[in-house]
Amino acid sequence: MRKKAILYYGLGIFFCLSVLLPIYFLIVLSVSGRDAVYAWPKIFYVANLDWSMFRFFFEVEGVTRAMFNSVLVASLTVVFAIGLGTPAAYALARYNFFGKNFYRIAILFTRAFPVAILALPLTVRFINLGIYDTIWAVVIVHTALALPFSILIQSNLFQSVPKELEEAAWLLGCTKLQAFFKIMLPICMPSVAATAIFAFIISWNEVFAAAVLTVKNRTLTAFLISQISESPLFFQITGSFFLVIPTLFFIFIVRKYLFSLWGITNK
Amino acid sequence: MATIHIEDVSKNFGTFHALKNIFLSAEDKEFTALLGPSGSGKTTLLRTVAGLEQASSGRISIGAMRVDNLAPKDRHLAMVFQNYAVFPHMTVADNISFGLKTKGALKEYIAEHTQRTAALLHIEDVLHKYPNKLSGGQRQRVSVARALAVQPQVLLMDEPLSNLDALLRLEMRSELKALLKKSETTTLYVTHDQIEAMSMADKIAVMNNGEIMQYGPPEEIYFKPKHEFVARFIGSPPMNLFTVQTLKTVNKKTFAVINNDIAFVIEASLKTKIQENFDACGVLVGIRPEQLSFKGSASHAKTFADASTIQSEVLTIEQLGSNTLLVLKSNEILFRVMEKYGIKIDLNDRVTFGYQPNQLSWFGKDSGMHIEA
Amino acid sequence: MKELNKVMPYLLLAPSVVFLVFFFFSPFVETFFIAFKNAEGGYGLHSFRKMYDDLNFFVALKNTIFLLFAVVPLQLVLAVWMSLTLRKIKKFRGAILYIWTIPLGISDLAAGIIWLSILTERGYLNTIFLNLGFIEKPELWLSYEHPLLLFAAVAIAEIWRSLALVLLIIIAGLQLIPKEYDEAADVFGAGAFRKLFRVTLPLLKPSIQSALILRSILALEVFAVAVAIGGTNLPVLASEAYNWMANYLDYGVASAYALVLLALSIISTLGYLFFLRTPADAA
Repeated sequence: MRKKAILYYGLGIFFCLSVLLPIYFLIVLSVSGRDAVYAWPKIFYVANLDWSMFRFFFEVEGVTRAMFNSVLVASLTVVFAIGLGTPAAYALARYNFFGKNFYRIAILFTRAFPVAILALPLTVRFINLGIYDTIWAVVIVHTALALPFSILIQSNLFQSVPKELEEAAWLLGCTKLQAFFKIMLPICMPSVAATAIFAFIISWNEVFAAAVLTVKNRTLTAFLISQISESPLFFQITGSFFLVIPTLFFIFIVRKYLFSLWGITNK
Repeated sequence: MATIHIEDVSKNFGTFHALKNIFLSAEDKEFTALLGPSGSGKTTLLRTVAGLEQASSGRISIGAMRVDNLAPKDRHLAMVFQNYAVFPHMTVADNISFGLKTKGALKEYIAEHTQRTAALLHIEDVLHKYPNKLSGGQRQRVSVARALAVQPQVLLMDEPLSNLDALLRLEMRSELKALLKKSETTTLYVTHDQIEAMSMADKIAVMNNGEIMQYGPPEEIYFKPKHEFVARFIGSPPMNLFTVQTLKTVNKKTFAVINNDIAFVIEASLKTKIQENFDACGVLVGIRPEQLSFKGSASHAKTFADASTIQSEVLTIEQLGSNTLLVLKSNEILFRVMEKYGIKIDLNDRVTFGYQPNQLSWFGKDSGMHIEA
Repeated sequence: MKELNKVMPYLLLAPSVVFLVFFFFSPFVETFFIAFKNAEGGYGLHSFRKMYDDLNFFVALKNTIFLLFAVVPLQLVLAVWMSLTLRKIKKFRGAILYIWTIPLGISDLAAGIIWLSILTERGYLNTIFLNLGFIEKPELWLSYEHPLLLFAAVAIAEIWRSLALVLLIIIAGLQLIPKEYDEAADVFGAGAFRKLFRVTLPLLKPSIQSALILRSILALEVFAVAVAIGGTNLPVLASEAYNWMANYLDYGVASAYALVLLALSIISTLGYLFFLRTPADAA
């Protein structure tokens, strides 16, 4: 029995290391300076702290703007994905109406679409609309990607709240809107926040559409991929560092909700 | 405080008729129980009064005000739900004061009234706790307090005691009854538990398949069922019902013959009505198990001369504490008798039971309707 | 009141419907028009002919499909293995699970760059090889001379990055299986492997199916990882679509590539639905 436990924990730790080591290397390289990136042989720890790569990174023209754009695009994506998704999710969770199943299937169906199939025709449309190469173009595509998620996850959430809670509020003098904001939303708040974080990560990490839809107004991912054949490795590493750190933090916050957010894929 | 008038209310879910032409009038301060098996429409009726369901047709008035087109919030009623529906993200105090706050009461009034209502339900010690720290019974009290705090004209309760364990249910039943009497609120109370309905209600509406089968005081429901369904549904064990095979007149008395051993005397006043029904579609006769009384063992064959008795063999004997339940068999017909404890009787004995002819209930066999003089 | 209740759900859905019709479904339809439009304005297979004649097309198609076959099955095996291991772990279970799911939030571009820095000439892998005595000087593995190693590097980065998704779906599915099934199998003396193949995996079939569907669609879209590690030496369908769009400004061919991707997604989804279907009476 003892031997078996060692085996299981050994395996568990092995898989943990497989996940953590590459991230560890990224962090070590990011704070060890340019020379360490090209050093041979490599040192497996931070020999001396050197922030010069960060300074260089932010001195490159377009980087600050790209980072700012990434934050802005991801935040706006959250606003739209939640703002458009919450009412729809509520309708799915609380009403029976003609076309409900069709709507649900159409939403599930969107998952089968490659981003490419969205981004290409939208480029043409956005040029006509005059919003090509603006953050709005990217926000729209990212919202289109995150919205189905937001709708399905939230409708599951709302469904898990007993409808009597809202009914009790209606009888105690609330309108439906008041009941939603006083009862439903506070109860679901942690999970809605987790959904919002997921929408943020989807947008923050998206490369293809952001790269296709922008020329000057790059997001961080679009900026990095458009420079990838010309930029030096240490620059790419610093870029990755700034891509990864916020999401590490976010995944930590939503760790409790991962299953309720992804369990949905079982349906 | 107000009356409730339900007039000709129907409710359809697609092709399913959940409520069929319901009429019900509850007096001010009256406690009405809606009693029926699951799926009988009692909860739908309650929810329709609350405005949580829309009636397909008909009118509902509370006091002088017609409410069927009003939103739930404008109907001046409160509801206690089966699962309590206590708001999990609010303290007990916030739960109780929720209705007063949304209605914009004064701060001092809210604080004082919350305290008073909590005291009424003995939950003043947990006012600052969250519901997940409470027991089921306490949560139940919070949900009643929350409903009473708004001093509703009408209180609706949907199986409020069904999620409590047996002992707590008993305790809460009497407490609730006293509380509602004191608060003088007109109450509609949904339950599938006939003892609950019998012990608490001023009037009972027995429902089945979306219809009210009988509406009246508990004693009437129990002793004078207006319909075969009510006879079968109320009482534990329920009423014995026999199918009448023939009608036979001996010595100027008319008997409803069930088989060779069992025949019931028909009261003179009912004779023609029963004859008419029998000719049309058959007749059922019913008597409650406790209305049959042990008359001793029977050695001789039954004759029609001795009226008001029936004979049969003892199939099983169950001791239920203060009572003894007998299942009796006569040819292929089984029926039950409830006797006091201590009756001297053995399995397979052939015994005689007596009854009062005026305690018999007669029903048309197809219509199920009670036959009256 | 009655009327409002009927209209309400449609009012609530309207914003999302308008948005998705305008920015999701109509572009989808438009892709077909763009892909089938000829230079003269008529419709035909012009763009598809151009794509077919593109030197990179079959390479990209081959790479994309091979990556799918290299990555997805291995992820499934690893995910089942990891989730069964986790089932036996009591202490630190939450911490371990959290660590395993970290890559869920990591961008594919960053994942590509991270593995590039490990596998590059003077990277950590070569340092380890040096310490073990396998090599004496830095070796360049990731070049067009070693297409197989390039492919393996992309596959590893992809597996590392997106295993967490499969893992979550499998663990969620495993939690739905009552422990009694496991115990019942124990009582009947089923060996570990027998139990896995006769009890656990069949019960997991719905989860496996949805994991495979979702992962395959995403694997076919592989883009940033391949570009970061392989540059132009490892073309995939998505990177070709990107090139035709961003560099050659030919929307027709780019759309044709996108349609090929869509076709593969649909084929793989239908394939999983068919081959892993649950017989109606066994459900």
